[in-house]
Amino acid sequence: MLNLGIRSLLNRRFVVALTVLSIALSVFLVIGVERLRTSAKESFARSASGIDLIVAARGDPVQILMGTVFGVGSAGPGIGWHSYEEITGLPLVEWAVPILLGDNHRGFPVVGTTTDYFDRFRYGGGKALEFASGNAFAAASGAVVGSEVAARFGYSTGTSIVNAHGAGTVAFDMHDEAPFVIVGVLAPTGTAVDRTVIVSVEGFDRLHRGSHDDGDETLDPFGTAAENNAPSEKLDYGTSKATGQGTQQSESESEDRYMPSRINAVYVGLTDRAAVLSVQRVIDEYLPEPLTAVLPNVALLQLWSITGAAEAALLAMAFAVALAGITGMIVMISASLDARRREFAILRSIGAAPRRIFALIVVESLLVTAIGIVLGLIVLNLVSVLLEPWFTGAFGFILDSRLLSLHEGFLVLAILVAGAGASILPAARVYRMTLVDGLAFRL
Amino acid sequence: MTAPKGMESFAFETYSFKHRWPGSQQDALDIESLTLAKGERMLLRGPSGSGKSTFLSALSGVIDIPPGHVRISGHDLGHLSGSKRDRFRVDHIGLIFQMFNLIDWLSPLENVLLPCRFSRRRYDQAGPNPTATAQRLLAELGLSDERLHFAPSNELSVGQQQRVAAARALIGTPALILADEPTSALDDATKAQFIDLLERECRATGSALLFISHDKGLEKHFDRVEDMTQINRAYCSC
Ligand SMILES: Nc1ncnc2c1ncn2[C@@H]1O[C@H](COP(=O)(O)OP(=O)(O)OP(=O)(O)O)[C@@H](O)[C@H]1O
Ligand SMILES: [Mg+2]
Repeated sequence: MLNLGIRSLLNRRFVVALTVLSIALSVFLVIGVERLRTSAKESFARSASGIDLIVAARGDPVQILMGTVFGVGSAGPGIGWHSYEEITGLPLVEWAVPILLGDNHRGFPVVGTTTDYFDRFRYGGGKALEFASGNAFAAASGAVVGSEVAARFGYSTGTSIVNAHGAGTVAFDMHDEAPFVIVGVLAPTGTAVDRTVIVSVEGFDRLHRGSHDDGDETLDPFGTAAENNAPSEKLDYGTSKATGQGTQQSESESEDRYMPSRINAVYVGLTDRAAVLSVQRVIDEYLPEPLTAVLPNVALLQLWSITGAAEAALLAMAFAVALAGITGMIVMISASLDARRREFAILRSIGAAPRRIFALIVVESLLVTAIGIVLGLIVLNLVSVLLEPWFTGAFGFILDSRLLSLHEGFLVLAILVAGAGASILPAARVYRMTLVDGLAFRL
Repeated sequence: MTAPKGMESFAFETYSFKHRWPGSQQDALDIESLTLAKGERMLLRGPSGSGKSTFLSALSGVIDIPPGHVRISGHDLGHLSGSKRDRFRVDHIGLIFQMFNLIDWLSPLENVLLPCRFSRRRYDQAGPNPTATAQRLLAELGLSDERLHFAPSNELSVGQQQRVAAARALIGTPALILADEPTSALDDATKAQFIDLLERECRATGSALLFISHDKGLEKHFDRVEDMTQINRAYCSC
């Protein structure tokens, strides 16, 4: 029956090819949408999993999370350095690293932070960052690049790079007066870190004094640190108790540790994760500056609840296409039945029982669906591989590159079963037809 | 279901057999007795609507028959279930229709080999190499050009298609060949050649032949000629 089914399909190869294509498109969409959804969630959760709290200027937790960890949207108005020091001093805070944002390197976000970042940042359930080559920066002009940045531009330790002002792909203002030298390349993590350039707080800040002097911050559409340089210093004088220094330039450069006036966020790790809510409350309510401490996982849940409706709509669309694909196949098979009455009568005359002809129809649609599924998966995986770099750059998460996950396997199986199940309709018609026709087919 | 002693000498036997099509007011067939001996060749004639094709459907087990009325090679068809009749058909009977005998998407050679694919018995009886047997049959039926064996079936002329159908009916030597007006789409010369070849092959393989035709002048190829108007009591020419 299988052999006969294949031969019969080959005979109608044009229509069959079209049907296979429509099934392939269905599979491509259903699995693609599903993969997008799960990849986004997994990748986001992975990136933020090692951070207990993200502290930034008072604002929406989802925006803070997106802006800081994933470099999507605004990095916020920034907070004073003194807040960072206050957070560091809080009980139960094991570590805190400052985060400066707002620059990009050829489209990849540049993060200004301290070397603590490399020791403290955890991802994917407790894994530490590792250097593929080189090590953390010691000087202000040192930069560490994520694996993807290095791979994309062929960077290695010793390469000199220039960053641009602004968070987008379009360079508004090249900081070419202050180049960095790559001192380290990180091993791949499968998180947003891979597409990040990490520099010291000092190196990051130095750029912005430069651009501030040029006076072209107005070109920056994002509320980045540079725009806040001037007001921040006023704020500093008003609220800073921990350091109580004068101007940044004179004070910090003499010290062993550089202190910027403003930072965008602080990543916080606690000695006891169970205390996260109380620490959050302290930061939110008792520190002098209006701050928001974000629990990454809670913010992610919030984000998913916002995107939930869109996801559902996307999935519904994908399933509608799958339904259309299977319907198309049933139409194709049904339409050919009348033309094939003769064929069925001949098959009966040489001993094919009606249920074997029934089976022939089911086998044919199983074949069409299976070929469509395989084709759809091949195309999907090709597209994933080809679009991966662009995709990660545009949306900040890594596409799952597994050929087929277990969950997707179930979806594929469901499509296969639906295809075979739907073919029972025309098959049942053929069954009745062959019984009525017998050998006396008419034309 | 096994053949009772003494009855195996018949290719088919029908006794007091009536058939009425579902939804019909009257019987289509009412036959008191008609038998065909093994290896015998019978020409069955009769006007249109006299029940020739219906009789053929009954013999080939496509329509439901109560037990005790129709036997093929000694096997009572009425004792067989629907799907067993389908298997029985391919095991014991080769069928040739008026036209459109071939499956387009199989080559002529594959068409000839189809019964061997569906029936173990036909496969076993088709000799050590069924493909060679099929090619020999095709050659004997005048299709010796091997290119024709592999060409698309619908590119063959009608006469060639009928000969391929004959080869398919003959392969694996079924006890009975049923042919329902296989020559009515052929011109006179092709018709004569076809019947010649079919007669020769049936003689060679020992298959019995029931040949339905309106055509005159075919009697010399057959052992017996019957007229449906005489046999079928349900048919009246009035
Ligand atoms: N599948 C069927 N369902 C109902 N009635 C049928 C069916 N096949 C044939 N009949 C009826 O049975 C009768 C005998 O028809 P049959 O086809 O056996 O005639 P025939 O002798 O083969 O005629 P022809 O020479 O035209 O082929 C006719 O009255 C016909 O209408
Ligand atoms: Mg007829």
